[in-house]
Amino acid sequence: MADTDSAPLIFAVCGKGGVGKTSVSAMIARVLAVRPGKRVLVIDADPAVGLATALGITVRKTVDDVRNGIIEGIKNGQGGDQSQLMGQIDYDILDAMEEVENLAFLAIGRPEDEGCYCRLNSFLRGMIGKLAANFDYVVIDGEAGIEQVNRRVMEMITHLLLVTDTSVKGHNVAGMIAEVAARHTACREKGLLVNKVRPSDDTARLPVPDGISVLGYIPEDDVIRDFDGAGRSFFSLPDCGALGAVKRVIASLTGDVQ
Amino acid sequence: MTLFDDTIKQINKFADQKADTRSFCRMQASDAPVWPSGGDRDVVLRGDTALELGGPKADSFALLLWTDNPDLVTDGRITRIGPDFNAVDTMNAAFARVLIVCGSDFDETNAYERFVELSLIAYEVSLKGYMMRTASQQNKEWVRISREALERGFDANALGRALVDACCCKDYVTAAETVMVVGDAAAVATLRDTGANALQYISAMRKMAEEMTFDCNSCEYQSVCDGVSELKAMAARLEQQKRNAGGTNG
Repeated sequence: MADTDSAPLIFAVCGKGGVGKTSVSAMIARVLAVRPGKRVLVIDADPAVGLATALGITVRKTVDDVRNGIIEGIKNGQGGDQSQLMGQIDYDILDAMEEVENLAFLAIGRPEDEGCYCRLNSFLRGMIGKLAANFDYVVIDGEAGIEQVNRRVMEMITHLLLVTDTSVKGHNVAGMIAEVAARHTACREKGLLVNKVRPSDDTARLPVPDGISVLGYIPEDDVIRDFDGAGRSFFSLPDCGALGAVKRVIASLTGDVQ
Repeated sequence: MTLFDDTIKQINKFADQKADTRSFCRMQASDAPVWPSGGDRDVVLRGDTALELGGPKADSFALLLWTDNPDLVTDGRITRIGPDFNAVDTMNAAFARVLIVCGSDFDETNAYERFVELSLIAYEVSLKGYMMRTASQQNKEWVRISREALERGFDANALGRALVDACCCKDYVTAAETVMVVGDAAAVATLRDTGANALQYISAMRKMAEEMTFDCNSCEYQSVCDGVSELKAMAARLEQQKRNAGGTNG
């Protein structure tokens, strides 16, 4: 059982599309989930819900489905008072959560529409924040940035992991995300995870944005590519170079023994 | 208020009829174990769960009733119909929880606010290894009890005590008792049928309290309110209040 009152470590995994965020998130989730007695919440904030596949999870319901269900209820005159609405959201979010042993998975689905049902959206975001507090670790796979996740969780983020490949564009996007994040979070640590690094790449020459440190280099790995291509669960991933690199980064960030 | 008196009597009668069944249990809250708080963490994951009650996979029912008649409420009484948590032979079982509260000065001016306040008690109860979610529009409840809690002896009496104690913290509550049904789908269904009128009254009150404009003549609860003087009084008072505040209906 998780410690009663310790705040979770929240890892937000962000970066440009195509740099391998989802694979990195899946590896982080796996590394954390095998720690005895620890509880992990994985939030897939990418509408494509690719992280579910990478973790071997089938998503029945997303937060967007919960929102739409409640909106439908409100339209049918079943809104109720604030306490009822909160209770319903709490109930539905738990129902939307997929659980595999000590790992829970929540897919955000489509980002919320602006302008409508702001009270509901605010409750939903608050509920995800409350839910996050129940876990030892939270891993958020962001679509690109972290703004869409939710303000309360964003404020709780302890580690901002900016994933990039070796491209200049990937590094630039990581730099921009870091700038936005600096305005919204007071995360304990932020840094680059350079993914898909080939032996021929000169890591000393990569265009690392100012003020951001490199947390680790993840080698390009055929095992990852094969698992990704075949849609296999990263929980059955054998030890490989990429997984080893992620393990080292997470061990150094959490200070825990693997 | 006598709004729920008949329902309370019927529920007590139903519970009394079950008293001869093998797994029936009655206990005073003061004799029940005090269970440690769960703190801020109230999610029991499926992997840690020993027993799931209600929720999406099994029937459930939750109801809160109040009266100002002290003869209808046995203070601190916990009634369990069906096996205790450690004796349920399935992972997902039917569940019902009825809280019956005796209070002073319940009237049409405060009844709904107090109902909301008392409804929140179920959320405020934090017990280690116990998780509760409720979808109150459907009067559904979803409980998970962790393996660790069950191994350490968490039972229906501990839950009942926490609920009763939490109710009695309210200064207007003079007595509280709870009736729970565990793992007996037929008994859950009977309780739901027994509580059907009460649910109608609560829905009518909610509509009055929540909707800024309501017209009794076109309201789906008109026949419900027409048969209950306290609901009619509540509607009249709210209508007057809204009229005074410049509302559009009248």
